[in-house]
Amino acid sequence: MATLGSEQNPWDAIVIGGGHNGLTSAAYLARAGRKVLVLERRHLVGGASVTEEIYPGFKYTVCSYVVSLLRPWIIRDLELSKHGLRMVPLECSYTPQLDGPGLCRWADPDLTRQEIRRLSPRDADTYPEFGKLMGKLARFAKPFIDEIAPDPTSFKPSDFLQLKRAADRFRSLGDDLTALQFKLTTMGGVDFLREFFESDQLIAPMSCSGIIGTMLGVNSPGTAYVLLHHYMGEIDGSSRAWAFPVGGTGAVSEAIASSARSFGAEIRTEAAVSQMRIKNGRATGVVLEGGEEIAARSVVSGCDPRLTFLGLVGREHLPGDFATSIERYKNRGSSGKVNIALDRFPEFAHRPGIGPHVTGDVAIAPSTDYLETAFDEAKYGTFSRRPFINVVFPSLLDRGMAPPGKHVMSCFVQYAPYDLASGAETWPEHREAFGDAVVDTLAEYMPTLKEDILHRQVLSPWDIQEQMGITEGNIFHGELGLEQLLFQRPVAGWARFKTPIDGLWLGSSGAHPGGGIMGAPGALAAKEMLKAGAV
Amino acid sequence: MDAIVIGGGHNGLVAAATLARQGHRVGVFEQRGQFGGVADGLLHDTQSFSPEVVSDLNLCPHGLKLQDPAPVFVPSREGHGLLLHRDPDLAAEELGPDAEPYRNWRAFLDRVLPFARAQLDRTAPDVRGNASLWPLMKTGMAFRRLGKKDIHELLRVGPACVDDYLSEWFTSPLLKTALAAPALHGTFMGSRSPTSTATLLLHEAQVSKEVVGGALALVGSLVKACRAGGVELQAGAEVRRIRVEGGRAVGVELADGSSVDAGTVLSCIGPRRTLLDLVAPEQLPVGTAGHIRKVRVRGTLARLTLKLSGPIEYACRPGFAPERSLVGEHPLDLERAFDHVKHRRMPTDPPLDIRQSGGEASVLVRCAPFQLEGGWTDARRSELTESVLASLERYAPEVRSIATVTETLTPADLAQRYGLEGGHEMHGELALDQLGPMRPGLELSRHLTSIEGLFCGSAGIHPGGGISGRPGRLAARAAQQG
Repeated sequence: MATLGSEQNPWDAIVIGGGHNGLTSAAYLARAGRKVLVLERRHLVGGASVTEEIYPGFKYTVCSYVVSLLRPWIIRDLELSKHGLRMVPLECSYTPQLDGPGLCRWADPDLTRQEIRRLSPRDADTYPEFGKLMGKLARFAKPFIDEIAPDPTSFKPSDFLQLKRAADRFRSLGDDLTALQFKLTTMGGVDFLREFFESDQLIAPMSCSGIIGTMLGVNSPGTAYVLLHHYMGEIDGSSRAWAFPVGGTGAVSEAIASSARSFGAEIRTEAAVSQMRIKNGRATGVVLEGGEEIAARSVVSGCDPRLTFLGLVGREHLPGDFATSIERYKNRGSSGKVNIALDRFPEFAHRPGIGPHVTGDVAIAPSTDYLETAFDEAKYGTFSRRPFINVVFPSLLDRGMAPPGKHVMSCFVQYAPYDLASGAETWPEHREAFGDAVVDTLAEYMPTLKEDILHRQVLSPWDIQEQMGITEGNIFHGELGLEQLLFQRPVAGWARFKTPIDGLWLGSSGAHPGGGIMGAPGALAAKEMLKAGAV
Repeated sequence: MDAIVIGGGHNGLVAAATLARQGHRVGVFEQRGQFGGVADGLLHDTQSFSPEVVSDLNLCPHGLKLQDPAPVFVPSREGHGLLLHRDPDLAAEELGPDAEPYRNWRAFLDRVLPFARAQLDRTAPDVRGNASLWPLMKTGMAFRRLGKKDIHELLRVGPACVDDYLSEWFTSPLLKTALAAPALHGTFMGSRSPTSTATLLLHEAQVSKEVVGGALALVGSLVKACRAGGVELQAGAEVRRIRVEGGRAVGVELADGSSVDAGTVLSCIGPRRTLLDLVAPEQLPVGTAGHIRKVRVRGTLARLTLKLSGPIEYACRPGFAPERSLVGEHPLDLERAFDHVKHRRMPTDPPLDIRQSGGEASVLVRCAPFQLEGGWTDARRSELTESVLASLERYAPEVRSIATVTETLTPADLAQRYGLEGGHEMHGELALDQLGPMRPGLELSRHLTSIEGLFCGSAGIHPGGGISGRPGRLAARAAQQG
C-alpha cells in the first residue's frame, strides 16, 4: 500500500497549524476514526497557547495567559482531564490605584461587596443585582457560541428554526431584559456600566473586558457585550471564573494534542505549510516549505482567514467577492505582551505582601479616562505611553513556573497598534521603548519592580505576526466587532466553516464563534465536516 | 379644546396642523416668544424635512418651495477644495478618480435606502413580548426583499465606523469628510466610532429636498398651515404641569396658574422633561422615570452668528462664496474633535458647518461639550468664539476683516434658551440603542405613554432627527388612533 499522504493513499484530513483550535479539530476528526495529520510550523504545538522557557528556569505563558471560555463539552469529549489538564481558578481581580488601596473584586461576592462599599454604597448594592441580570443574559447568549450561527438572510428551514428559537428565547426574557440585551449589544462598555454604577474606579476595570484584542476604546459603541463573557465563563462547572492552567496555557494545547494522539492523530512539528494544493478548485492537500507535497481528502485551516485565503490559497483561486471581503476583514492587532522573570516578588505599594489579592489578575485601569486616553494615542499610530495592562503572576498559581523564591509575571498590554504611524515594520525599533513604557507604568504601582527584573520578553503585534504567524498579530484572528461575529465571521454566508474552496475548511479563531482559548471553532468545524461527509 | 400640543417647535407645529386637518380643535403652548424651536435658525439644514409631512399638510400652497440641496464646499489648505453635489453627474468633474465609486455608492444607497425611509415614516415596530409578531415579520420580510447581497453588506457595514466604511469606497479625504460630518450630527461619536456608518445611512435616508428660504421659511409655512386649520397658537405660554386624573391626561396647567382642559395632550418637548418635570412621579409606572433618566443627552452643539460685510471666501478657491461649507479636511479631524468632547475639553481647530446668505453666516460647531470641564462661563464662551474664528481663518484668512460675531451660543446657552436637556438638539443622542423601538424606550418609541391620552412627539422619540417633522406627524397619528 502506498504511504499515507501520497496521491494513492491520501490522509483523510490535514490540519494546518497546531494551535489549540487546530488540535481540537484534529482530535475530533481522529476520534471519529479519521486519519488526521497536524502540521505545525514551529518546534512545539500550541500556537498562541504555548508555555516556553525563554529564560532558563522560568516558564513564560508567551501569548495567552488565562482560560475562561474553554467549552466544557470539549473538555468532556476529549477527556482533557485524563490528558493532564488542571485548572486553578483566579480568586481575585485587583485594580491598584496610585493614591489608594484600589479595588479587589473577589470570587466571593460578599468580600467584593465590602470592597465596593468603600467606593460607593449604592454600587455595592447594585453589584449583585447586575450580576444576576448579566447571568440571565449570558444564558440567552450562550447557545450562540456552542452552535453554528444562523444566517438571517437564509430561507433554509434549519436557519429559520434556529432563528425562531433564538427569537423565542429573546422574547421570553421579558421587556426589561429585551431592552437591556439590545443596549448590551450596541453600547459602549462605559456607557452601559454607567447605567448601573457611579464609581469610576469600579467601572474602569469592568469596562476593560470589552476592549481586549480590539482596536476600540472603552467608550466605543459595541464594546459592552463582551461584559457577558465574564458571566459565561465556566471552569469545571463553576460559572463566572477565569482560571490558570497548571503548566501555563501551553498545557491546554498539550492536553488537546495528547488527546488527539490517543485517538490516532499524527502531529508533525517544524513542518511549515507554504501553500494549499488546489486542483480544479478543490483542495487536495498541502505543499510544505521545501517542496514536500502531502495529499489529503480535506484540509482544515487553523490559521487566520487572511493567511489562509490570501496567503496559502491565493487570490486567484477565490471568487472575487469573497477575496475582497477577506481583504476588508479587520485584523488590526492592538495588543502586545511583556513577560518578565523576577528575582523576587515586586509588592504593590498600597497592598503590600504576597496575599490572595495577587493570586488572580491585576488590571492597570485606574480610570475610564486613563483607558480612553491610552486608546486615543493608539488611534493615531503610537503605542500607549500609559497603557492598560493585565498582569498575572503564574508562579503564584503554579510553583513550577519559576525556580523557588523567584517569580514570573505575564503582562498583557494594550494598546500596541500593529499599524504604527511609522509603519508596522518599524516595530523592532520601537519594541524596547514599548517594553519600557510597560515597566515604567507598572513600577509606579510596584516600586521595587525595576530592581527585581532578571529578564524581559517584549512581543509587539509585529512579533506575534512574525513568530506565531497571526496576521497583524491580532490575538483573536480578527477583531471581535459586531460586523465580524456570528454569521459574518469571517464573511457573511461563509460562517459555517466551509469555504469557497471545496475540501478546505476554516476552524480557527477567525471562524465563528471567535477568539480566546475556547476550542469551539475547531470543534464545530470538525463536527460540520463529519456531518457533511466531507471527511 | 380637543387636543393640546406642548411645545411649538417644528414637531409641535406639524403635530398640531396634522390634528387640525382631521377636524380637531387644537391649541399649541410655546414657552418662548416665537415658534419653531431649534428651527428658528439654530439648525440650518432643512433637507431632512419629511416629504410625507409636506404632502400630508399640503404645505406647498402655504408658500413652501423646495429645491435640491445646495452643494457643499469643503476647503483645503492645499489644492482647490471640493464642491460636492449629491447628484453624481454634477459631482463627477470635481471628484476625479472618486467619481465612478461615488456614482456606484449613490446607486447602492438608492437601492437600500427606500427600506430605511419607509421605517422612518412609520411607527417603530413593537418588539415587546406581548406584541403581535406579525408586523415585525412583515418588516423582516420587507428587509429580506433587499436581497442577500445588499443585506449582508448593510449588516457588515452598519456596525463599522464611518471612516473605515468610506475608505472602502473613496480615496479623497475631502469627500470622506464631507460625507462623514453629517453622519455624526446629534451623536456622541467620532469618525472612528463603531456604528457611525449606521448613522451615516440613517442621515442619507432622510435627505431629500431643502426648503427655499431655509428653516425660517419652513416654520412660516407650518404656522400658516396651523392657522389655516384653526389651531390656536400661544407663544410665551409655559406649561407647568400635565394634569392627570384617574390615569388619564385631562389637560395642562400653565405657569400663570390657569388650566386648560383637553382630552388629548401631545408633548413635543423632550421626553425627559415631559415625563420627569411635567408629570407627577406617582402617575408613572415604577421604573419609567429610571428608564427615562438613562437616556443619554450629552449635547455637543454650539453656534456662532456672523454679520458679514462681504461673503466668506476660501483661499483655495478665490472668487467663490459657497452657501454651504464644511471646515475640516480629513475624517481624522472629526475624530480629533470628538476626542475633545469625550475628555470635556474646549475644542481646538474645530470642524465647522457654515451656511451664509444675505450678509449673515451661521457657524455650527459640533464638538463643544455641554459638560465642559469647569463649566461654561462668559470667558469660556469667548474662548470658544476665538477657537472657531482661528479654525476658520486657516482656510479663510480674511474672515476677521469681514465678519463680526453677533452671537455665540454654547451648549449651555442652548439648554437655557430652548429648554434642551443636556443642550442636546435632538433630545437624545442618536445611537443604535437609542433608535427605532429603543428611542427612547420600548413603550415611548410608539409615541404612547402609560398615561391614557398623553402622547409624545419630539425628536427624542422615534425616528429622531434634526428638522424632520417625522416624530410630530407620527405622534399626531398615534393620538388620532387613541
